[in-house]
Amino acid sequence: MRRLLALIWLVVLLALTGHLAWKYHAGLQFSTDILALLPREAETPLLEKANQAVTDAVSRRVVLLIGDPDRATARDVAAKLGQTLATTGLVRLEADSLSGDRLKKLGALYFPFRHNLLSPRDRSLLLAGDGEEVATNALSQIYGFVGLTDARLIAHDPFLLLQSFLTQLPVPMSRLSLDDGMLTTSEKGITWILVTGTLMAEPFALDVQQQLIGPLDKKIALLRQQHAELQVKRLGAVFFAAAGSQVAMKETSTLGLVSTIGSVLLLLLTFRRIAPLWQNLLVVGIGAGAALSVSLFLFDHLHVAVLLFGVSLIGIAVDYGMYYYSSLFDPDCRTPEQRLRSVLPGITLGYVTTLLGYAILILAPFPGLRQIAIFSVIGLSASFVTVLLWFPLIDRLSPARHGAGMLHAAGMLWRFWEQPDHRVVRRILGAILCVAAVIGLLRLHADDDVRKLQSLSPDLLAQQTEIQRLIGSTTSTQFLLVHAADDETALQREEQLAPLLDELRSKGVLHGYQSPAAFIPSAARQRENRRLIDAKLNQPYLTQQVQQLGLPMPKRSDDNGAVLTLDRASAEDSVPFLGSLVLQPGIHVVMLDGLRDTGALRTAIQEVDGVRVIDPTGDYTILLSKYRYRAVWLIVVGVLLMMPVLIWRYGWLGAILVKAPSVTAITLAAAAIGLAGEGFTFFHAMALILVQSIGVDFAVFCAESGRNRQSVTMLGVWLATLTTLLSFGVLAFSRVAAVHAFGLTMLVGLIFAFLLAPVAGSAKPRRDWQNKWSQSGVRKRETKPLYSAIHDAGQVPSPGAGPEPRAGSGGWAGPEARAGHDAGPAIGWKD
Amino acid sequence: MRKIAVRKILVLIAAMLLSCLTIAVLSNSTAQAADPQIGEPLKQGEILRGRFTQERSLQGFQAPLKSEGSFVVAQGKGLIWTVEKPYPTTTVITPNGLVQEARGNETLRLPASRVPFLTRLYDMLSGTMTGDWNAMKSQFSIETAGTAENWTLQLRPKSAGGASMPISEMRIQGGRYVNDVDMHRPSGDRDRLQFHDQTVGSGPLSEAETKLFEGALKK
Repeated sequence: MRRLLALIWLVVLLALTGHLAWKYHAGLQFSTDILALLPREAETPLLEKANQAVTDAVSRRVVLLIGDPDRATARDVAAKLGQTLATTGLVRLEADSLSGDRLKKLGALYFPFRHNLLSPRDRSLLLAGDGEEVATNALSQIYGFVGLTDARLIAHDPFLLLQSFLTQLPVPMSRLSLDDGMLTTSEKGITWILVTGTLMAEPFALDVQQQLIGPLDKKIALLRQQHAELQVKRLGAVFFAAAGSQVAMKETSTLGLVSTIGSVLLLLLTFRRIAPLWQNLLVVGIGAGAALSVSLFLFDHLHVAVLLFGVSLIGIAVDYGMYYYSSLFDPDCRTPEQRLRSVLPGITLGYVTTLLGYAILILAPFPGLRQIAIFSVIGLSASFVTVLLWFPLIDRLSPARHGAGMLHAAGMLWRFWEQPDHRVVRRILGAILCVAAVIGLLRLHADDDVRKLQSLSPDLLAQQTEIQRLIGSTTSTQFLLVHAADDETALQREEQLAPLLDELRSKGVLHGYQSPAAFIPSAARQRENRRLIDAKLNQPYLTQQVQQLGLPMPKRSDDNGAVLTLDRASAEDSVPFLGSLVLQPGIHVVMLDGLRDTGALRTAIQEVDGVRVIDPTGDYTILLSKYRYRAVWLIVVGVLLMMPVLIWRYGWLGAILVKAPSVTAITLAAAAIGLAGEGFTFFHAMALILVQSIGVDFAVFCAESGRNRQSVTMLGVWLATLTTLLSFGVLAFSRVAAVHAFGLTMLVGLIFAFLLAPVAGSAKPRRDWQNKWSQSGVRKRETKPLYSAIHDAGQVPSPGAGPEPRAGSGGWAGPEARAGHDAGPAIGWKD
Repeated sequence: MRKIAVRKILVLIAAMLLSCLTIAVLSNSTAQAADPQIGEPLKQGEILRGRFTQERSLQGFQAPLKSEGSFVVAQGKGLIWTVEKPYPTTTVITPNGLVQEARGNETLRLPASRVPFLTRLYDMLSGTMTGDWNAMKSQFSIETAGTAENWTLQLRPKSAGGASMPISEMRIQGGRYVNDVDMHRPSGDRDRLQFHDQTVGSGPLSEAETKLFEGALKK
């Protein structure tokens, strides 16, 4: 029967492998877009498009700022580095973004409509009826310091309205200006030249990073040898991504090496055989492969985060293998059959409780968590079935005879919890942990700021700040999305926004903004301007002005009130940046510089229709916060869901005893995070879910353990703990914040889950199961010290409860009641 | 916009050339043909004051635009150019850039970082003040003529028509001080400046002048 089932399982796995191979051949598609994890919203397509457009523009930008005390050197190096970027074929340089031609085109675009355009300052003067001020300002400038203005322009525009409009355009990079064809700024005797380009490939692709940064670094190093004072600063997602992947790769190689060598050595030294090693790898491998195969069948796109967490969660299956193989040291288990039988109740209950813990994630209304849940439920089941069906067949090992020392050592922990003479130590330890838990939990605070999780290279961050300061741009990722039926309505909304944003700017909440309406006013605004100029400026002051200057009267405009339209400006492509601000007719972006308070912005603009604040970083932060919140709740729900199973098996008090180690471990791990001063994140919470499942596994193994198997059980738990620590605990040493968070929680949580696991040993299966394989018959056991141990650890809230167990109290089965019941495993396995 | 940007640069060049040449020439001894050595620099703390008349001949205008006023050059600080008639404006130029005020309101502020040529100009002119004409000669061909008491300098940009060099020709005449500057631009416009009543003193700046310099240095 088992052989048949094992064969069927093999066929199933082969089918899954075939499916996986076919999918792989067709091209595996993993989604890396963190937004894919978000719950769907009604407006998502629009938001996504806007987000994508802006994020793309930001993330694909490559900026170099080249500085040297010698202007010629700076220019020469800028040209050479531009060349280097261009020859990689990955970057399209934006050399002409502000070239003379572009500026000429800009002038040509606006000139015919100069009667419709007013700078904010002139407009407010005219609205206040102070046309004379405008006129006199113009005269002062014309007569003033050697004259600022082109003579031909004055003749057409004696009030210098167009000049005023042009100089007050909100052009980004306000500190840069064009010097002989290169965007330049200078400070403290150093000439800085800007070289910008757009990356034509994915900035997060490793090969792209290498192909771009390799040659660039080489060239810069070469140029530095020639010019001692040369400085080159860089900015761009590709540089951050490359630095990040470098750290990750370095870490992966060191941490991975520690983890792999450690695990292999541990298994080889413990078992002195190779089989437990490869068979455990097989179990986890089958779990991950099956999960991947089925998930790819169920979902169109699998998120990379699902793979990461899913595989971690499946990793628990190693425990089953460890537990199984620790039976090698049990002299009572001579055959694979007996080994499986001895651990079956433990791993089955462990499997069921873990499954419940994971399945609960399916209920979360987050696509990401749901995928993780399904992935890990499938993987864990596949691993479990593999242990169940295959291990007895592939296990050809004879009982190990070298384990006496290890068993003794492993059993020490159990004895510590059991023996009455350690009571004082236990009490002191319990008190210390209680105090630490209280202090830690009080200090625990949530921090979902996605920027802290990214762990960006500090050196590159400093360069970014310096570049932004030097060129006067803050390349913020926040923006406003204006959506309306058509461009005209959208422009009018932006004009409604302008005074609100100006007020925020005067309060210092906002540094600046660029809206399409500042470049192309709405038709309504242009007509209003024209009337304003006519009534408040031309009629009262024009004659006087031209007489003063000695100019002929300018011709009345004969454009029949034509207005400059967005379509026209876009068609001629003469306004730089406008293309990135207008996504499609009626859907515009208002870029924000140096926003300090998103909340204040939201409040300020809530009156304007069809405007949304888009803050991708803030959205990620909110997303992570929601996920964290859910994850914590799911831990609680998971505990509650596991309880019926545990109560059915161990009775009320027994269930509490089995649950206590993992709950305490979670609490202490959370307290440790608080004590370490770290903000609690989604990644900590995910690790807690894992700690909870592993902790319950350990406790169940202990609870299911017969008295004479205590040491063997503890050895299994030891091994499971050490392998898990070697794979996850080492992540605590990662420099990537999210990975570190996960690792640290695992490290602390696992250690406590392990240390406390024997507490569950005094909970015993209370059901009277017939067991034809029963080896041990009636076991005598002393519950007294164990009970008191638990009492000492503060887990049983029964004031005055002596060491004497009370029959019938909350389902707790006294020793008499259980005498003869603990025959052990009987969960439905028949040959 | 280009025209305007060019104009601004032009103004700065003119301003700086004028002010600094004035400085350079003020205690003129000899004008040598090979390496113009036409003066000692103002010493730290020394102040040159004077008056000017400006005549702008602009294309399409019936008559030149005339203005007059006073100027102050303070070594190590910068230049204050005050137009008194017909429209009072004050322009302050410092290493930080240019600030213009009219009737108590700031009408223009042009930081030096926006106009890198300004920095180059500083290099050039501080060179001429210390007798190093290399920076100047890299941009202009310079012809000198006359005697120490009555000399002329003719400057022509080496690369004509470049956006950063909008002067087609400049003629400067002086004796102990610069007296007359005649500047031609590629557009055909022409600026003529005449200086008189120049005095050098080491006295302190007036309170108003100090305030102007401070205001210009503010961010």
